[in-house]
Amino acid sequence: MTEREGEREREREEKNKETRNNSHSFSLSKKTKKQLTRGEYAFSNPGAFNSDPRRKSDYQDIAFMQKDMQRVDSSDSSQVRRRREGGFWGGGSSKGKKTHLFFFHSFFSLFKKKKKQAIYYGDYFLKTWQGKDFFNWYLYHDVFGQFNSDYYYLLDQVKNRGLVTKGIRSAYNIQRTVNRLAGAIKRADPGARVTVGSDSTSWISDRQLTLQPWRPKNRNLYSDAALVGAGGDPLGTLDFYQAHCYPDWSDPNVNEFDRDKVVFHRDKSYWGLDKPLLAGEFWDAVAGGPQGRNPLTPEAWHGLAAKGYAGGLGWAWFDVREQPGVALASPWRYVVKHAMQDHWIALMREVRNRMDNPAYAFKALRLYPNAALSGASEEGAAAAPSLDAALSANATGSSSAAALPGAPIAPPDVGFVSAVEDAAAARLRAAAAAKQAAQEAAAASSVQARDTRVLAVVVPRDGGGNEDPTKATALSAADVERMVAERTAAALSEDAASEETAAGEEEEDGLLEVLQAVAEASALTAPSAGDRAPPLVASASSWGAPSPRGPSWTRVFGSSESPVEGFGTEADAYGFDAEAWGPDQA
Amino acid sequence: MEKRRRLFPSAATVLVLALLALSAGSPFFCAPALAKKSKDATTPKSFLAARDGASADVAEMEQLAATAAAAANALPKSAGNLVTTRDGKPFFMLGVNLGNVKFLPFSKATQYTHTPAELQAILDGALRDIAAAGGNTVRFWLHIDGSSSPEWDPSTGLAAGVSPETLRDLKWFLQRARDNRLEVILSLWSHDILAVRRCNPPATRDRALRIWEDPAATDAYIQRALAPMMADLGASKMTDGRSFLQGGVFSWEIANEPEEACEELEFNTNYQYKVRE
Repeated sequence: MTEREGEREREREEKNKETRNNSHSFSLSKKTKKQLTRGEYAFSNPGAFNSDPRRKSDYQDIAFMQKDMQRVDSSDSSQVRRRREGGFWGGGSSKGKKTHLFFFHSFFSLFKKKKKQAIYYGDYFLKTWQGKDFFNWYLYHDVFGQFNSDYYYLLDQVKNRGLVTKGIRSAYNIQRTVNRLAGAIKRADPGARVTVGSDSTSWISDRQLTLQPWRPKNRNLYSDAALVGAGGDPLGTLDFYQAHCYPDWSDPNVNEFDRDKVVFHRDKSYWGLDKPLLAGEFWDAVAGGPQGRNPLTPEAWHGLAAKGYAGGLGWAWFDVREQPGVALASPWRYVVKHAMQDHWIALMREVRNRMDNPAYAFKALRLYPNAALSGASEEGAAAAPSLDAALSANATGSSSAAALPGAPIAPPDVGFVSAVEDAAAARLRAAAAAKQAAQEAAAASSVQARDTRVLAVVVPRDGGGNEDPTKATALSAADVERMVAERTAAALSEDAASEETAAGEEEEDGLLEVLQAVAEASALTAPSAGDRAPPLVASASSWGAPSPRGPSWTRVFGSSESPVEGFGTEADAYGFDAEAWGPDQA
Repeated sequence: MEKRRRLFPSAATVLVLALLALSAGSPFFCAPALAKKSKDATTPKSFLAARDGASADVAEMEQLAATAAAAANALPKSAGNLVTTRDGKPFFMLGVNLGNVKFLPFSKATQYTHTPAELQAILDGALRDIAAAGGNTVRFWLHIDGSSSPEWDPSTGLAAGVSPETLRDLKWFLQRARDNRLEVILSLWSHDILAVRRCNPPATRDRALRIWEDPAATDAYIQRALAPMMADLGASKMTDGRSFLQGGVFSWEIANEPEEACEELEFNTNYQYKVRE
């Protein structure tokens, strides 16, 4: 035995000791298991559950409880119930007899008075602490053999017995906590991205997906308004949404509504979101098909990009396995490769090939050039325009740019180190950069026209801490932008001066400090506004936090359905501008 | 037959239920667990002021300031439908979840029969394979149910901090991910706080659940664990010179599927039971 093995052996022994001392963990002998399944364990081992002598008087209750639960539990399984109670298909009275007179016994068992097996104590026992302990123990027994419990069938049984699930009591609590944590993260790092791995699209969208009225209403739990309203922290918002996209959630019968929750079937615009949406988890299956699970293809995964999603992450790379035969309280648990791991590797390779190959992107663009080029309206865009029309429009060059509703977003580097960095792509980037520069220049020239509106009014406080509206100073958006720019430049120069200082703290309240400084200054110079105080905040909504790149396109085509499998209607998902691709890509 | 009999309550039960229903206005039905919590204890002063209409300008001003500060701070975090990296590059996230395995800290991952070196090798291989297959993003779990991290104050049941071991191992992981050119979505908590698992004793669940239920516990976690952790990550440099906040954590994920632990949303795929009150 090597030294390392000896060390492991000692660790295992310690774990075994812990296991024995842990009242929530058991290792059972074969005999005990047999007794448990028969409901005889408490009778033949009266002290088994009761290390505490006070509990010994309750062992009968435990036994009754156990019997009772066993009966109800088996009622889920018609096979077991028939075998125990008898019935039309046999069992019951004919048990143990050599000759099974099938119809005879089953018929007469209908009239046979059954022996009462247990006294029903109602929910009384469960409300005692012994009952709670026992029930937890019971559930451990039934559930904890799995790494994660999804035994929904236990739920009704539990609820009928006076127990309810314990958890986060309301969605408000989720929203509040998310808001607080997100705000704290952004205070520590204003550039941080924050998201929540939502269970499904039901909870990131107001779109109603189900007609089952007994279910909670779908809604976007994580919109800015919802989060700030719950937690009160204006910084505590998400930067992108995330939904998990399994074809069915614990539901063997995938219906139409569940199908619609799966992103592979829907454009991103279907959810009506104001932020990017990541498909955070999915199996190698999508909804649909005879079994409700069509295989996930590289086209479908790659198609997420064309449908407007921010990405797709498969589930999962790792799994946890336990020592076979010691499912209960096994101290030997291993991190193993997930059964889908090889599949993920193969799928990701294919998707990556498609991403790196501009032919795929161009194929999508050729089928669905953008609406501005084709003149397709939001409503009538079922049919894609012809290739010739698209190419001739492309050939006209940048003249069509004026028809665009907003500035086109710059064709981004898609984030991959593309092996296909050819001359066409370089031209594309150069054209886009020039266009963006022009756009920024235009935006800068229009700043004055845009920003004369009063954004905010700073009201200084006097020595007593009271606001003095007569000394208010109006700030336009241009003022704020200028001050922020000055402050940013100052901070940058400070950083450059002292690189070693830890960044982050001084950026925290930058604008607030500016506003306070303005308030202090204006306390001396602001003229009196007469008997009517000016509005303190002119229009909160007029400040749209404009992106330096201008508004981005949200939709290119009107149809939310994809006419061709695997390709979405939002051809700008990569940010590639169809016109910039040009006809030489054909 | 017995089952059917139970469907019909006895006369005594009906009588008791009727009496209870008549006294529905009594405090008996105002069970504390079911009563909606007052928002006043949880919301900051400025927000309350705004709600009460006393001085709505203060809250709005704060909100404007925050929005402007966030907008002015850095490059845009998204471009169109895509999220951007910290360098401002939009990219399509392609990758795999590493799974809700409690890796961190390696020394505390005692629920698995692996040594810390083995766990590191497992993660190392995973990052290498995912990058080789073309992935650019991984989703990784930190606290999950709070049984391994953060640290807890046994006297109060509140979070007490993130251990140096956890930070060291987290930074090791983030650096390896960066070496493999992978972006990391770091998921803090998970619905697993309610999962019935033998490696997850109820005490662990209760204290983790409290972070979602009790504003004081939330604030304690933020002040003692989250903020110090982020300060440490911000002060530590990666090999490329950037801090671990700049180059390590691409995105923070507050929780994985918190809806599944929510009573109101009736998911109930994870179990922790209490007696109905």
